[in-house]
Amino acid sequence: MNTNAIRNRMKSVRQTLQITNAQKLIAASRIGKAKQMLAQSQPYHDHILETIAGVLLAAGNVSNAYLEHRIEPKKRGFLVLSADKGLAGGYNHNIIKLAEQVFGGCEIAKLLTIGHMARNQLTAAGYPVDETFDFSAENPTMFTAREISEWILRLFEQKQVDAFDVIYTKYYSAVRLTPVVERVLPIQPEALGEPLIWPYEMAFEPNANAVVSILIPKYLKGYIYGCLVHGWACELASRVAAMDSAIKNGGDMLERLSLQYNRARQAAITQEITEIVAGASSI
Amino acid sequence: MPEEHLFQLDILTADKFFTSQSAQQVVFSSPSGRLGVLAGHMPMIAAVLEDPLEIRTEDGTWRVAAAGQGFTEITQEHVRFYLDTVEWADEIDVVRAKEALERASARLKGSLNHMEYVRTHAAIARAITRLKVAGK
Repeated sequence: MNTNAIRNRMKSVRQTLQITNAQKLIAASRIGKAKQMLAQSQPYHDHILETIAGVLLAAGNVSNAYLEHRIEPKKRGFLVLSADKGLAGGYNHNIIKLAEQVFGGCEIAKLLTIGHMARNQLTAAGYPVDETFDFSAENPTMFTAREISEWILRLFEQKQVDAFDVIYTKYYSAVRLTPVVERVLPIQPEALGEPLIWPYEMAFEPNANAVVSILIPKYLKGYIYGCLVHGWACELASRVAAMDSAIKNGGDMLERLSLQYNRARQAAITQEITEIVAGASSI
Repeated sequence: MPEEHLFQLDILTADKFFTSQSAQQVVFSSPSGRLGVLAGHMPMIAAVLEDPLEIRTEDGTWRVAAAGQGFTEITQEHVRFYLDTVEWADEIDVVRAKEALERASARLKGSLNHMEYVRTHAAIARAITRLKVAGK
């Protein structure tokens, strides 16, 4: 390779490094806030689960539409949470891979997606993505969580789906991001975890049915918010890691290229000298 | 204040841990009316409506917050509120609440489907509660 070609190559690597550097800085500055949101939403999430399980146990026979297990849940609904943008390492790929595994062999009655990556890739793969459902994965808020949970409750109420699963990535730590599938409707009391067992009788105000019918939509809203925040934190963590390794690779590449460049330059000089010397001696 | 007159009060929303303190009394609205809770209240799970939430703190002063819908879990150990929204009186943006009230009242005059109707009603209740708590 001649020196010009190497110089151009180095220039383009430097430009790419600027992008990866900027992406890393942006993601790193946002991840602090995302982690804080995660920590703030955790107590509500943990306690409400115990309480729901406890209420269902204490109230005995509660009838509520969202608890209804329909025989042979044929019509299944899904929500897939990905990122809006790429450059996030394996984040989008892993969640879409898991989604496709889950879809394998079942009939999809409704497929909702959050984030453009899942939307575009699943549409391209021929899955029936609902186009009217459009939410961004960035900066999750309670407002979007409410809209999404109402959407899901409506689908279930109108019997458009018999069972609904959410596919998202859970944040455990910066190096442990796990894609998971969780059944949200119908509510499965046994899947809610350890129920809170009160050592005394609980009263319900106004009554157990009314309390449960308030509790479930609140729970779902909090749950969806939790999913959004988990996904958002994972996206950022994954982007920081991906950009970190890109920056490192770019640095290595620049080092290699500058070595090559110096060698080529040296070779060119040597050749020039040889030519001059040969030319001079022939005179 | 003797210890036995105090209880642990936690107020949570899905996106924040609003407060965790010991209190003497808390008063809120449930579907059957205003309910006051003192230490040693009978265990209960109650629905909470949009209305002022009054807290008598450890030192006997009253603090008022605007509560959104939710429910409360009263046990022998603690009183824990799970709410949609909650703000202290001094955090309320009165101008915003007034605007929200006007907007929602105007919407109510048009034709609405069931969902829109429920939402508009909730918006009005929230705005009125905020204004009530802010004392304007």
